[in-house]
Amino acid sequence: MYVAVKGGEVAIDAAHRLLARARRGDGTVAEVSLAQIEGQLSLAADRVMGEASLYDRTLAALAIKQARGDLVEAIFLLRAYRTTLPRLAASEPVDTGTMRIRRRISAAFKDLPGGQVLGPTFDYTHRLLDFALAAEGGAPAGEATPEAPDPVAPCPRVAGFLNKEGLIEPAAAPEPGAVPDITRAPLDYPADRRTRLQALARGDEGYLLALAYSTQRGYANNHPFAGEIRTGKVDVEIVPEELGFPVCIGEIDLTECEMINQFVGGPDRPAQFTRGYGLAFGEQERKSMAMALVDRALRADELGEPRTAPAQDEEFVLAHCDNVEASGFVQHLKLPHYVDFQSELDVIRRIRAAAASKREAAE
Amino acid sequence: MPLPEPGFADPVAESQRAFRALLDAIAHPGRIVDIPGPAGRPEGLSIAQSAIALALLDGDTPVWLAGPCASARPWIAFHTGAPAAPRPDGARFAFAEAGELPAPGAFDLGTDAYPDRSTTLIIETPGLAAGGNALLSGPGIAGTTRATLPLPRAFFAARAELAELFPRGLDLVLTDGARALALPRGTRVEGA
Amino acid sequence: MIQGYNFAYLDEQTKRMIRRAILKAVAIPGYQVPFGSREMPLPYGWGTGGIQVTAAVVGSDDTLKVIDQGADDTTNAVSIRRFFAKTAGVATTERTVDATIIQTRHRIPETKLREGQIVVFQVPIPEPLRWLEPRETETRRMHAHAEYAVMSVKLYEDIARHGRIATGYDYPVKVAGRYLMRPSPIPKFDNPKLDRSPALMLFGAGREKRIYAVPPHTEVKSLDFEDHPFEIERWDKTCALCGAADSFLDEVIVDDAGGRMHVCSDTDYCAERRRQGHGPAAVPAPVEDAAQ
Repeated sequence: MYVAVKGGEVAIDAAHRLLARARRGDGTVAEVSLAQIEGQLSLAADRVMGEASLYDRTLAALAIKQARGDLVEAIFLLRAYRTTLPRLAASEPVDTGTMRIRRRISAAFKDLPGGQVLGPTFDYTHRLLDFALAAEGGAPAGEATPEAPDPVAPCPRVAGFLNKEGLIEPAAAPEPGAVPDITRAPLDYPADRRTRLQALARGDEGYLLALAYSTQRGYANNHPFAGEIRTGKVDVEIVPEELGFPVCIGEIDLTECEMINQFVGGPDRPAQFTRGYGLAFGEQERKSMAMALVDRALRADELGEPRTAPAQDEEFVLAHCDNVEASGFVQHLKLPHYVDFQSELDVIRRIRAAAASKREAAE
Repeated sequence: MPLPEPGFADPVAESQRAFRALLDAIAHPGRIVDIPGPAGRPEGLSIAQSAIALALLDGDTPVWLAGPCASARPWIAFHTGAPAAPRPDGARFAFAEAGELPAPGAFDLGTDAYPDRSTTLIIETPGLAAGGNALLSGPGIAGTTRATLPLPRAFFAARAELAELFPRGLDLVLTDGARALALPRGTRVEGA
Repeated sequence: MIQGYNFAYLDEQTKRMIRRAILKAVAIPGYQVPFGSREMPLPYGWGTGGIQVTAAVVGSDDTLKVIDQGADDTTNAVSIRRFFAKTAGVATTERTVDATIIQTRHRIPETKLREGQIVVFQVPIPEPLRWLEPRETETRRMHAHAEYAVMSVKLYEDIARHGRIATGYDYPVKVAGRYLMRPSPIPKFDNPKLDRSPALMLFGAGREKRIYAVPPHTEVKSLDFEDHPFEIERWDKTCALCGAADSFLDEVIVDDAGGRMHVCSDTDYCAERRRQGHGPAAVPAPVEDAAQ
């Protein structure tokens, strides 16, 4: 006699125990510490902070540890925590022009005021597995505090001084009204650019990378140049109501990318370069570059360009860029669907039965 | 300036109870529900009105206080942080008294695309009762139901004219002390 | 109850926002109210919309039932029930008649619902026109003008091609003569239970950030045509456990040869019938709740 599957509670408890054991791995190997993740897997922590929209390196490290290194799961954990936090204030816009730069490059100019600063980049490494790293203690020790050796003085942004010639569109003026918050109010289409940028900033890196790549392969080609990419620290300021003037509450690491794109002009606009913008927490160069390309592609309507490619389609791009939403919905297919399946069985059986009797009648 | 009268003593539980009572009322137009209010209620609002304000208003809900309800402004600002709407049609919630009623059409009725972005108007209506001359029908009502709705006939005539704008419309909650009855936009009222 | 979180997990400001959305949803039957859906500690697609609605509605004097596929002990139902037991300390039950709030995925209980009960549906895709028109900007316009011809065309094409409407679940309905609505992926067998139900039906779509509702005693009409009236699933079998001939049956494969049996998808309904002495697996008195 069949007995309906019981014991969901027991199964769930057992699964949690197995997960804890799998997370710990081989008990004879030292457990990984949050400080190790923060310090030695810092780019993973940067991505988790960025796509979770919560700047807290230690909690990001905890999420990575708890998620067994699954970064999308870690992003989910950090976001679910973020939802429960009170909102104390909204910061003033950060000024990346005053960034304490650790890395700064422009691909559009050979040299520029402030100079090119390579910083800690993979760019010119030969991708050969370094077996010295495999030997315990074989890695060269970093400095006690991993700061840039010589902080570069604040330097002007490339787009800023190109502007003086009028060859590049000016930075968009701030849109009026309070900045919308897509974590508090649902996104509405068409979205304004600041809302769009917000969605892209917490969007999945892999998704944005693929879309950005598609724009380089003819799906909305917009002739990009990496005008400037800069990474470093900026101050965060708030204006407490009782004071009425800004006070600095700390500093955060950011990576900013300004893409410069050819634009041949239109009926109302002269030929000039246009911009795409990317910004991300920490060192997330690939993410901020991809974001800038997608931002530019999404400006098609504004610039009077024909919308022909996926990356130019605002609803398509924004509705699917969130990996916590996407991961949840794709994986919900693991939940039982047997009632719906039964309904479909019924429909298909009836269609087949009707077709069969029709055939018989015809014979 | 004296401190405003207190709000809910147990905001979590009391807000939930007030909301559930209101949900019951809106799901069953014409049904009279009890909405227990805070210990100290402000001048200008009834018990049920105060409870609804505490349960639903916050910084995201501009509020319009018509006529004598305006005396409750400091209390609402202190407890909910709801900003004052400059005009009735800028309000998410509006509070009024039967004696000094604004026209239903003066409020935000929402749009065809977003009919939810409309005002909910809460009117203190002494003499509210189940049974009576008004015949109500529509969603939430099994067949028809009756109520006594002591508001001017002209008000209901103006409200009836809004019916053809559906899904745009004005949702009404009538209160009498600690009791309330809802007339959402889809409820037809005859003989009031 | 778990420490460090508010009653029913959500903070009060979030609850107020959701409550306002619910009230508008009930006032405009079938219309999808956008709301600021929060990131919940459970994944999107696993009931976050229903959970948020339940969290905004539930009080300490409620009794909560959670089902998935009609069953109280499927893993996700267990997980959600535990979530509320942990964060709200609320009483839970597996008996439909004892519940004041029933959160469900994919079924409406067979036991007749009563006045005062609230059913909270978990909704994956709230937009009934989504498969026909993927753009939100377009579907919003279509709802605004009640332009639903495209759905009738789709259903009619089904009939032309297959001789019948090929939709088995999440079968579109019209609410109170105005809004086209997705009833969530319940089998069409359950659609008639929505029509003029004495219970209040609330629908929550977390990932898609929409809440909608059907008030009690409200007409919910499954779309059909005069020459192809709406019909529900039928079985020529009865439940192998309780003998019910009027309930939605799951088909269960019982051996390698593909042998199968049919049992009630609603586990509470089935258990209750067996307690009352029905069917081959009737429980002899004295009654003990099989679910304990």
